[in-house]
Amino acid sequence: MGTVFSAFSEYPLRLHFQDQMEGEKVVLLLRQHPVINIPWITSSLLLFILPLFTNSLYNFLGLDIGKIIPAFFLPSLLLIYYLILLAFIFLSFLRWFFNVYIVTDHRIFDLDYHSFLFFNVSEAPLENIQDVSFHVNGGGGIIFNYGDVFIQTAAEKAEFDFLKVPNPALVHDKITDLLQNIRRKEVSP
Amino acid sequence: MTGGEVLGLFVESTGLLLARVTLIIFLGAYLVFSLMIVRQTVLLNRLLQTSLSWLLDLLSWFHLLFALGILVFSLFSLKIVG
Repeated sequence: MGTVFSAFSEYPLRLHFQDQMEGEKVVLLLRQHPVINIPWITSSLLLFILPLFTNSLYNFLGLDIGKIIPAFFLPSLLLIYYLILLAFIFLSFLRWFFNVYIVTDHRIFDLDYHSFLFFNVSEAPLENIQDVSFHVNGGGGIIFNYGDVFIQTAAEKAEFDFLKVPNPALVHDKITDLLQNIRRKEVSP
Repeated sequence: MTGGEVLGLFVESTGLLLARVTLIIFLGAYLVFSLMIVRQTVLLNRLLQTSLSWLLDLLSWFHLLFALGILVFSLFSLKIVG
């Protein structure tokens, strides 16, 4: 399970992506740093316990909930509230889980899950990579060691951005090592 | 009963009916939304297969069944059916 939820894993086991070629090894699997999930987890927890305090809130404001909403509506409304909260939690998790950057020994594969119903996939062969750079900025990036890795390519998609990935310096090193290996093979076949 | 009271009762009952119908339409639309979540999860799991894929599929189906359960519950509790 550690690998499944990992934001940085080298040679992950039991992972397969669409169109993965036979013998193609996944070298790196990257996601955004887990700390990115703190805002939606915190708000979900607060929203989960919020209905417990609505009665006190109505009493504090001097309102009678029975006069505003008929009693027989309340169970349905409460269930709908938790249904929407469940959807929010599930979709927020999916957004983190399926926003993956994969580096194999042949190519880079970028699955961007933007929001509900919007996701796109792009990939480029390692030979097409021209430049790899990274930067760490902001307090969060410095404290938790996450940053953005930019990969310039000569492929259809000119730039791949691995955003807020853990240990960007190491990611940069791994990709440049792979590139050096490929170029060495090209020079001495 | 005065004319004003009759009008008041009419407005109240129409308001309640409108609220009931709106809630049921909302839940029907939500069911479609839940189906889209299931479909999207299946597609994403096809793109990236992990050991967690089955659980994500299961959760999306659970969400759909939860929505269906609430729709049925609301139909009975709001006395639209039964």
